[in-house]
Amino acid sequence: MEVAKKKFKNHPLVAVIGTGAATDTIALHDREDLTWLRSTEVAAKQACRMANVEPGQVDFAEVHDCFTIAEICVTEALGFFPAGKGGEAEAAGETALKGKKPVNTSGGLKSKGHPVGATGIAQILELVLQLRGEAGERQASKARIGLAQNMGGSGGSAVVHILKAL
Amino acid sequence: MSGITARYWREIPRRYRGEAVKSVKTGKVYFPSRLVEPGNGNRKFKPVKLEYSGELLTFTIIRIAPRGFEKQGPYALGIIELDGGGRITTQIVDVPLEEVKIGMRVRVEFRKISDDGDEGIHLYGYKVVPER
Repeated sequence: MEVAKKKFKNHPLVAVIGTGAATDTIALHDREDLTWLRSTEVAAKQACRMANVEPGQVDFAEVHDCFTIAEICVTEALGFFPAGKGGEAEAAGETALKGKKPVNTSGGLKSKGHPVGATGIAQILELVLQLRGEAGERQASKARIGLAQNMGGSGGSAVVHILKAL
Repeated sequence: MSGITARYWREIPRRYRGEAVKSVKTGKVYFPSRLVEPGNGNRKFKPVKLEYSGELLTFTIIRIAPRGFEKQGPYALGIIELDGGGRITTQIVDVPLEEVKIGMRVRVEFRKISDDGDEGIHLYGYKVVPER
């Protein structure tokens, strides 16, 4: 901590306060519910327990929106919205930059890009910029706790991190 | 398509004959077969043959087909819930694309999947057609 404070004395510090990882079947036909990303749900619960935060206390998030439907399913599995309500919430602007739960302020995979291996790093970078208040034009008004969700194999594996501005 | 090897021959029991297993503990059908049941560690299964009829759970239209399937596109690909348990992902054929509907009844048929060029062997497996 002292080293970090010295090295980054011109920036607010950011800490990883929770992490979780989980797996699911690769084949969609093996999943009980085709619209539910169980690996994301389990990873998020682990990360929230470790960080001692509820999904409602997360101010903003970067999620793996490899397709439009993926972002909707992920925001539901993370516990931001009830199952089946993620699409309506997004259409109503709740996940927009000025909404109550900004999602993918970076543009996300579909707008910013999806270089696979670097996608997760880019999510953490966006979280850090937002938490430091250095995101410029796309700065979210409240950014104290941020969440990053990444996945592969149509949700066959998922990883969630929760970061906090100190 | 290339490299028709043991990896392909090993698939024959399930691709040609629909061989699956049923959990003695939960009664759930697993296809392809498994040695251990997820969630409870059960290792007791009995062999079963898939029932070749079912209902279309969901589908998509593949317009940009992957290598080996270029000549077949556009085609419908879907997930089928089989009557005797178990699900398969396969092509829905012998039906105009606009007539493919979620919930439609289908029958599993033995079909050619692809071939290994002019001198290669044909690869067979299952596809579904509307029940008439």
